[in-house]
Amino acid sequence: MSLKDLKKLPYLGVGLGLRRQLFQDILKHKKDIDWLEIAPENYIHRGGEPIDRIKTAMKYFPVIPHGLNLSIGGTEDFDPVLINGLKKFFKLLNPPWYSDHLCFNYVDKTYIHDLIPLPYTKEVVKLVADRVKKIQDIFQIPFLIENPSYYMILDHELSEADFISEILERSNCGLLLDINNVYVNSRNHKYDPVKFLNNLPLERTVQVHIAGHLNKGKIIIDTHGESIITEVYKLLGELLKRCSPKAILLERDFNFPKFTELVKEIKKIKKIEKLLKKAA
Amino acid sequence: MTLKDLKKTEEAIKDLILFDSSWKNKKLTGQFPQKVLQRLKIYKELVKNSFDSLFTSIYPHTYKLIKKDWTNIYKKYLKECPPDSPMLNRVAKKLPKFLSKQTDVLKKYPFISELAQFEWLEVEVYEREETNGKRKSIEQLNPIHEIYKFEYPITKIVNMIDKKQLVKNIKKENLNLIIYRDPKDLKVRLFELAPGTLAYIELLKRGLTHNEAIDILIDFFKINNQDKNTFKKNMGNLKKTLKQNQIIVTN
Repeated sequence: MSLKDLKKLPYLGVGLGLRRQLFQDILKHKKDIDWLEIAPENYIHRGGEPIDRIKTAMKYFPVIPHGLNLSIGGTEDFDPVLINGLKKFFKLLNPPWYSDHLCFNYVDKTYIHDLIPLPYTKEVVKLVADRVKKIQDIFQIPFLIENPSYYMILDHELSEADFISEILERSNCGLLLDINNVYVNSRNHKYDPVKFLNNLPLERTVQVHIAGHLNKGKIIIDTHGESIITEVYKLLGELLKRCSPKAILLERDFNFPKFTELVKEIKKIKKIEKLLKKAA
Repeated sequence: MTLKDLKKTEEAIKDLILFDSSWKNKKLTGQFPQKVLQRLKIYKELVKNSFDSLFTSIYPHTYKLIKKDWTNIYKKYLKECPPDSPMLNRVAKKLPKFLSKQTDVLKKYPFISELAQFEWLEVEVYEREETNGKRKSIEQLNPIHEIYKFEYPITKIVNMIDKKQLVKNIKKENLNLIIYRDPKDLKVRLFELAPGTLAYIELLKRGLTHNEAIDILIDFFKINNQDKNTFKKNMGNLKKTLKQNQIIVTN
């Protein structure tokens, strides 16, 4: 997929992660939410209420898949159970793009069920770029890689920004820029988040994630279980001065507040986006 | 770092996160500097928390009984049944079979594997994929179901746990259940099956019609001519009940 193809993708607006516990409230607040994101691994090879929920959601919203277990950075061959499940599910969803995290989590036919960071080396760049091309061939829609939060560095032959940039350019894919992860990583690994953004090919940003995190003092954990803090909103503003993504998503996975609080966050994100679009 | 090295690193990280015993293996831990090992423990904790949450939500009653031994059970379970599915809740699928071999737990709770099986079947029926066969407008057994013949009174045990009663000295007591998904509201329902009802449903499951099933049952139970009509009437009422409960459905 070329940069041209990425630019032709539809503009979706500001959306919310679809969680079972939020579904009824989401339906009551349709006018405030532009689109929904789901983890496809929670729906493949399933029927009943989960699929019924997706079909209902699709009547009112674009529903976009954001994966958890593709292990795009791993050496293990892609799991056919996952790939076949996704192929079937995407026939229902018909999404404009699909994304997953720049990590590995499938080794020796075993799933770790978390997002393990990759060594930042040239060898891994080649590996990931080849695998991204395979995925784009399989699904025939643009694939986006997300910058994950990470708590350890395995190898830094390349900087994080260079590592991500080289993969994006080499595989010609899109970027899902998680702005909360940029903040969390910049605090945990002590670097300037704006400089980090400046070193990425932000013209490849198709989608943005924004979320809350848990500050434990010595370390910050990317939990998606808290409200977004001011610094992360500011960083979003910095990002939107530099690029115009097609979609922004508020992630909230647990510890849910009153739904009106989530609507407030969505409205704030929309306000920031509108202001910066006007200024551009 | 070559791809071979990367594969070695992946395997070591997988072992250190999933398998507790691997932290005693200096060949594995020696591959990483201390700072990385400290941070690997964060991932180990995140995965454990996620799996704990998964098991307590899928097996709430089983978990309450084995809570005290959970850490050891969890470690042993992951080693014997490493997560092989991209779907998170399938990590918990093999717990009933695993528990059927845990003699210590079975001594205390001989029904524990059946209790776990019951809780898993509820999940499986809830999310089972529909098979898109040819849609005929006929009556048939609800295709989304499981029939299970329990040796212990599992539903009674579940009630006792819910009421925080002491679950002790539970004697064997056969319980035949059909666990099925109501096509109207997609909820999971249970229906206890008397032996005759079980026999009837098993015949429907083989593709027999109501009348064919009745003929077989009349033969099997050696029902005499005098009682045939009463039997047929009773079976007609049974069929009505099963229809009302969405165990027999019309596509």
